[in-house]
Amino acid sequence: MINLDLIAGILGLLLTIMVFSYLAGDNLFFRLAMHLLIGVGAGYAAALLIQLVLIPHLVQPLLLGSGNAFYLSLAVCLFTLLLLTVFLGRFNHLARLPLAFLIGLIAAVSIFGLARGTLAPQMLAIVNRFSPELLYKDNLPDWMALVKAAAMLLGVIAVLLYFDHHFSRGQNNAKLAPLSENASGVGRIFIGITFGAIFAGVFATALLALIGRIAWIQNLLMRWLGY
Amino acid sequence: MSAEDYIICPHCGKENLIQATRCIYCKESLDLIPKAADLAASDEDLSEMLSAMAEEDGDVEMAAPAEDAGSLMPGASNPQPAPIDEVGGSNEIPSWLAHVRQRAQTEGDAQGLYNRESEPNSAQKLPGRESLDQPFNSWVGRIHDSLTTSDSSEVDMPVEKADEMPVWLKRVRDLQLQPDENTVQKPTGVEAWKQEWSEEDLERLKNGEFDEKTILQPNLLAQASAAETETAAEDVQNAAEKAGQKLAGAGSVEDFAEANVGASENLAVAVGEPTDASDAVAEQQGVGQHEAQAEILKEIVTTESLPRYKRTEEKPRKTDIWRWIGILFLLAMLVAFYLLFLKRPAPAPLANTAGTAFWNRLDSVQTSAKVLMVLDYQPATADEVHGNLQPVLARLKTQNVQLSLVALWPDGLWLGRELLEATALPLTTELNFLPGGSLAALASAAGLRPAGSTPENQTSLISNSVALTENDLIVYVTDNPESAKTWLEQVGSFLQPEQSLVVSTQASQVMLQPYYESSQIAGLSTSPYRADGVLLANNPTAAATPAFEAGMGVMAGFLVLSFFGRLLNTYKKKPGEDGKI
Repeated sequence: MINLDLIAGILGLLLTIMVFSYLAGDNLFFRLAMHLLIGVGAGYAAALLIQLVLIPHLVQPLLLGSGNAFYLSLAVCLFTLLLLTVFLGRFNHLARLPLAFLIGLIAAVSIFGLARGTLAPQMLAIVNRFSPELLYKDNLPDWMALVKAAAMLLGVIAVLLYFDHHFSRGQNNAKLAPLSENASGVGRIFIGITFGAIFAGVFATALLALIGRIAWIQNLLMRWLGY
Repeated sequence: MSAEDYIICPHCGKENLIQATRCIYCKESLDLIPKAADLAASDEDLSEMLSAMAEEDGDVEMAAPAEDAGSLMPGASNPQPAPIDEVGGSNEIPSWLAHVRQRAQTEGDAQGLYNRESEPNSAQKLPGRESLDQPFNSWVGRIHDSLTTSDSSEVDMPVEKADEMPVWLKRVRDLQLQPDENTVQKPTGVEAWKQEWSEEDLERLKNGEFDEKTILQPNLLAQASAAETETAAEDVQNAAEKAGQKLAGAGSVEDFAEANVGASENLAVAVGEPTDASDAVAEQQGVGQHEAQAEILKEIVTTESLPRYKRTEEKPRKTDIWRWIGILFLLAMLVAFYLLFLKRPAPAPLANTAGTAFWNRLDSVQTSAKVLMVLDYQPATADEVHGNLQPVLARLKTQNVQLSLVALWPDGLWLGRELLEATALPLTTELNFLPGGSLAALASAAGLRPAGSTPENQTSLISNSVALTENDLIVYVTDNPESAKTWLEQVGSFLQPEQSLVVSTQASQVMLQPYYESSQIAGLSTSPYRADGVLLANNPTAAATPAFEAGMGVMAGFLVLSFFGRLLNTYKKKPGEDGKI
């Protein structure tokens, strides 16, 4: 009797080693593992989308539905067919219609969400940092809170000035005030700290993934050896 | 393209494009040659300029060189073109060609092919033109004299400046084939004429029935003229030979004069039509040259438009010993740290207000509350995410909440199933796939249903609640801060801040912390620890803490080594070697 866990373990071990072989440079085994990963992932996603999306949300309403559900599904079906005309050389311009609809919709939603979900709340958060409730503690000034709020405000202004300075430097005859020059230097420090923290986080995530794979191999070998 | 689009090089006499600043053939400068278009454009201002010059130089001085300078103007010293009957003689040329020339003389031609010499003369007949042209000729003559007598450093192009030639012109010249090697022999003269014209067309042309305005092309006219010129030149040569033979045989002056009459007549035929034949030959040469250039340019365009497959030569791969040393060092350090610090207790993480708020909010969840967990991460980061998520699921399990999971990616389905198995939650826990990502979540938050939902097929986005907002708590799980930003931007405004919690990776901590600071989320967890340093669950990530610290230590060592290595390389270089020191 074939032990499926054993086969899956061997395959997983081989694929893991094939991916790790990239440490020695690009090679056939690494490319083979990548092609396998992309192919299996695409096939899995396609099967899942057909089963969970296309059939229940498109085919069934067209066949069984009535009223609004039928017409909405018909519109979706029409857009899908228009999108498929991209493979027809003569009528491929018809594919622009659903693409334009999608891109326009996504752009509008993104801009609105960015303004409503990030820009306005972040600006308000900086302003709220200077509210008296946060700056006073037991009727005494909370100097640490004040320093934090000032540092946050300084960081935001300095980074904005840095980007303004960065883009103005490309223009001819662009002269900046000394205060602006110095503040943009402070902005560079803030940006450097942010990028450093992001890099450390990305490395930590990658390292945890590596440790997870090594621990998985270790557990597999220990189990095979009977420990 | 008309002849006015060219300028004649004063050094080699060949035609160049009107935009050219140097002659394409002899590389001499063309900047100082007044172009026809410029002269025409400045015609209106010319009278004012000449008036100013007249005031400056005086009337006597201006009038004196006019006679000499007049010879510089094209057409000024050339004789008037003789009538056709006088020049060619109707017996020496075909009647159809005479007809064409007659039509050209009487009606004029747009190309100026035949009347080019007569145009200035006709213009001189305009009233008041003579008074304008005389000082103009004087002015041009003085310019010419100053150029010919002065140092010609500006005009003569130094050989070294040939590098300033445009790149496209260099390529054209490089690709230009030698005529004696690869030039395709095409029929010229009469043969080309015969190929392009049918017998019927020639017959109609002879009878004067052919509409040459619409069909006859100037280059064909030029070819015809060239063919006639060649014939005439051969006749002249034959006549001269015959005259020489007669002279040798006659032996007297009278006989020589008699023999020379025929040759002179034939010579007059050839020499007497400089206005049409020579121009036609020049036009033919110019057109031929431009056709050749056009062919070369076409060849370049065709060649460059073809797909190029750059053949990469397989260089012998050097054994990069340092790469292997680095890999072995990395592995050795990992193993050493792992073994050395394996039994050391995990240090408590730094106090994190966002983490504290996260666990406080989780502890406050009531029993039987509706909790939705949105899975938006990739399998590559599943180890870390699951390590952070398992304590959360264990806590929710003890609180006996109504848990449902929804995946924004297809991979999330089996990742969620794996997560449920790891936390020993019942596999009957609802796990759905939400196509459309954040846009679908936005639609769900807004209370919309999928397009295909029917009363018979109630397929809502999230089945245990019609709308996203009906959940008491939503835990958004992600490994990408950009995805979390999009989620919060689209869905956050529909939710109360105490409804949203985020579980993410350590890489996302920096980017997501501001959203907690702005009170858009109730808490953020990026580690399996509580803020007070208590490990909440026995998960793989927590067990691998020594290895994690080992890896971080190795990376820090590599950074320090690379920093010092770069510093050493910088100071090993001599000052100015790379232009930086």
